[in-house]
Amino acid sequence: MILNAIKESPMPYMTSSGFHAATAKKYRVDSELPAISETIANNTEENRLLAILTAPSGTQKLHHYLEAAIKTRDVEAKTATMAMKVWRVMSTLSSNKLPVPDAGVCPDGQLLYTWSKSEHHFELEIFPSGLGEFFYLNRLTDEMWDCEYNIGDSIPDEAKEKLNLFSL
Amino acid sequence: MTSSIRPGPTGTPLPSGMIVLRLARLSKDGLELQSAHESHFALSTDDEAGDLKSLSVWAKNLTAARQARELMGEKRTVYRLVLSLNVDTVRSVRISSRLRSALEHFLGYQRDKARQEPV
Repeated sequence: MILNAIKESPMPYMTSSGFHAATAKKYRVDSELPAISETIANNTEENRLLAILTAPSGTQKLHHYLEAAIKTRDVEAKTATMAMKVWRVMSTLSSNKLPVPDAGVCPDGQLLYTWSKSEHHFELEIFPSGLGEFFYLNRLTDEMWDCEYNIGDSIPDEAKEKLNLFSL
Repeated sequence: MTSSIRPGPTGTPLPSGMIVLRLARLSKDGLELQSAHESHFALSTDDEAGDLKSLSVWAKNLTAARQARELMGEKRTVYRLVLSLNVDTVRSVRISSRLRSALEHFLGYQRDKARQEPV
């Protein structure tokens, strides 16, 4: 039977000479690329690209931060969930041009999102009750603006205008 | 630790030049930005309820950061960040009357919100 014939015949790459041939061929292909050990150590541009490709996205990083805050019981899961949802809404509204905010945990379980760009500072504080508070400060003029917000409602127009100041 | 000051009643002003430590949780970008986050200076409900309405800090000459962290009990692992603040710098912070007025309004709102939080 053909199957048996194949089984019984020596596989070319299993012979000594065949093995070397296959290795040599493989080596030629590989040799067109820099050795793996050199890729990371010697090529700055590739390092940069590698870092970009392997680094978690800003949103993933926010997600991880919120997950960690839940684990340490600094934030309730429902607060973190609201915070993640509101970030997705804001990001979508800005056509993904709004940078992911820095985020911090406040002493009573609130989450504070912050954006800073030159003199502009913007915050969204998310309370465990589902209430939110937008806050804007111009550090040069002391102009301030704040607005209550129920998490889940549409983002107020004035907040959108302020957030546009931070868009990439 | 040698020190010319001694523990006193809460609220006793510290001498000029002293460093106070504020233990804080890292913000999301805290390590990259190497800067403090607004949440590090937020008053807790307990802070708000106190007579001083002030942040809790440790006088570095009396309590080292490591000791302060140990005193946080089971939460100590969360407080990975130590903010070192010179009391003279803190005292030199000035805000405009407009900002002060707005902040008072804002803090009043925050207090109202905290009261609405379910216990």
